[in-house]
Amino acid sequence: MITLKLLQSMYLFVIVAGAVALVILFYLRYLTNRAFKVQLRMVDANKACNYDIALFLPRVNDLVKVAEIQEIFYEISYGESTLSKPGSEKRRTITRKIARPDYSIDLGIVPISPRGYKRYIYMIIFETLFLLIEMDILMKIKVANEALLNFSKLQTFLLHDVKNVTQFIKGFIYNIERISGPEREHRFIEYLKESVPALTVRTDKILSTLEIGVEKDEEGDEQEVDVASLIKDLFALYDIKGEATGRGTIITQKHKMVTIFDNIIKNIREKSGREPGIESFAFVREETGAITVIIYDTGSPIKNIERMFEPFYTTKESGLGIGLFQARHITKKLGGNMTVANTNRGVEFTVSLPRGIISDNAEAPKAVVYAN
Amino acid sequence: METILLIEDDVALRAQVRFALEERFEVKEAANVQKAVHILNSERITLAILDLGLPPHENTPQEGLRLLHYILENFGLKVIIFTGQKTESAALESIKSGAFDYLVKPVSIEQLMFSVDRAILFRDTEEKLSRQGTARISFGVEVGKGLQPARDEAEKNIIFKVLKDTNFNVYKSAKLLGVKRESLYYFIKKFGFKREDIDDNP
Repeated sequence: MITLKLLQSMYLFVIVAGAVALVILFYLRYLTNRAFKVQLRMVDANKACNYDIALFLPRVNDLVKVAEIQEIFYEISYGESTLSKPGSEKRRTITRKIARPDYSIDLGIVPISPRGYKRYIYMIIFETLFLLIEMDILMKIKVANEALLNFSKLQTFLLHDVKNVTQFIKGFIYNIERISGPEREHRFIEYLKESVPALTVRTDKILSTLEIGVEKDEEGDEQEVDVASLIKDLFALYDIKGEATGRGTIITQKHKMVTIFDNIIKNIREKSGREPGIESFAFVREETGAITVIIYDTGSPIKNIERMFEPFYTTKESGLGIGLFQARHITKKLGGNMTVANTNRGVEFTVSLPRGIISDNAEAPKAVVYAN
Repeated sequence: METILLIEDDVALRAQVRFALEERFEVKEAANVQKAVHILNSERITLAILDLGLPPHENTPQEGLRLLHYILENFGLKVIIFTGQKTESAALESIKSGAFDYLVKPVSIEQLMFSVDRAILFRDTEEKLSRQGTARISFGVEVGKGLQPARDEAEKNIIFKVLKDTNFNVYKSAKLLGVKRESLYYFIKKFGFKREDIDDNP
C-alpha cells in the first residue's frame, strides 16, 4: 500500500527527471556533433590548403569558434620557417608545447567557458588541431628531406659526368695546341673517333637527366635506327658478354634510343660487377608497325622488381634511381611500353615501340663502332 | 721509358689524357678494377694515375680506394689520384693510405704532368737513398698520444721492411738492424709478424 502511494507521488517526478535527462542527452549529442563537424571541417580545410600550415592556420580561428574556443595562438618553427600568432593576455588558456630536433610547436587556445562539460568539447578540437599541425610539419620535413636527398644525388650524378666532360675539353685543348707531325695528328684523330660514341652517350645522358619531367615536343633529326646494332654497340661499350640477334629498325631521334637501351644495359653491367660471368641476350622482332625488343641477363632475380621504374628507387649504394624511370618515360612518350620481370631464364626487359614514320629528312642508319 | 697505368672509366677523357702522356711515357690503360689488376700483374708499371669513381660505383670513391690499397700494398707504386670525387673523406683516406697526390677534376693537363714528374722524381730519389741504405718509411701517428705509440709504429715499420727485404731471414735482418737475434725475435713476437704476412705483401 505504502509502495503504491510512493510510486503515485513520484510519478510526476520520474517524468520530469526523464524529460530533463533526454534534453541533456540531446544537448550533449548536439554539442558532440558540432565538435565532430568542426573536426571534419578542419581536416577538409587542411587538405584544401594542400597540408600547408602557413595557409591552414589563419583559417582555423573561424572554424573553432563554434566549438567553445574563443581564440587560438601559436609559435611554430620547422626548417627555416617560423609561424607566430601571439595570444591575448587572458588568464584562462590551455597550452601545449613540443620541441623536437627538427621542429617545435607551442599551441594554445582561449576557451569561451573553461569549466564543466564544455571542456571535453574544446579539448577534442584542441588535440585534433595539434595532431594536424604536427602531421603537416612531419610531412613537410619528410618531403623536403627526400627532395634534398634526391637533389644531392642528382647533383653528384651530374657533377661526375660534367667534370669528366670538362676534363675532356681541357685535355683536348692541351693536345690540340701541341700536336706536331702527321703521325701524332693521325693518332689524335683516331683517339677522337674512339671517343665520339662515349662522349655522345655521356652528353645525351646529362641532357636527358636535366630534362626529366620537362615536357617538350621535339621535331626533326629523326633517323632510321637499327636497334640490334645499337644494342651490340652498347654491349661492346660496357664490355658486356652479350649477343644481339634479330632485325628491326625504328624512325626516331637516335639519342632517345641510346638513352632507353643504355639505361637497360648499364643495369646489366652493374649486375655483372657483382655477378661475374653473367651473359646477356637481346632479340629484336619487327612486327607490323612496331618492334619488340627482349633483353635478358642470366644473373640472379631482382628483389622488389615491381619498383624498378619508380623514380629515385635504387638498390645500389651509389645509384641515383632515375635511369630506368627515364628509359620507360621516353618509351611511353614514343607511344611504346617497357616492362621488366624475373623469368626462368633471368631478369627480362621487354620494350615495344612503334616503328615511326619515315620523314623526308630521315637519315639512313649509320654504322658506329663503340669502343671501351 | 716509364710505363704509366691510367685507370679511368671515361673512354673519351682517357683517350685525351693518354694522348698527352704518350708524348713522354709509355701508357697502359684500364677502365675498371679487374683490368687494372690484370695489367699490374702482367706489365712492369712504374706509376699509376687513378680515378676513384670506377664501375660499378662511378659516383662513390669505394672502388678506387679499394684499388689504391691493392696497388700500394702489393706494388708500392706512386699513385696519383685523378678524380671528380671532391669529398674530404675520400681525399683524407687516399692521402692517409699513401697516395702521392690528389687532383680533383677538372685540372689542367700541365698540373697532371707536373704531378707525374714530381712522383717520378720522388720515386727516383727514394730509390737512390735506398741504395745508399736509407729507406723512406712513412707511418701515421696521433700526435696527441705522446711519443711511445710513434716509437712503436716506427719500430714496427722498420722491422717489417727489413724482414721483407731479407725474405724473413732473421740472421740477416738482425745484422742489418744492429740488434741481437734474441731481440729481433722479441720484436717479431711483439708485433705479431709472420712469414705469411711478409709473403702476402711483396
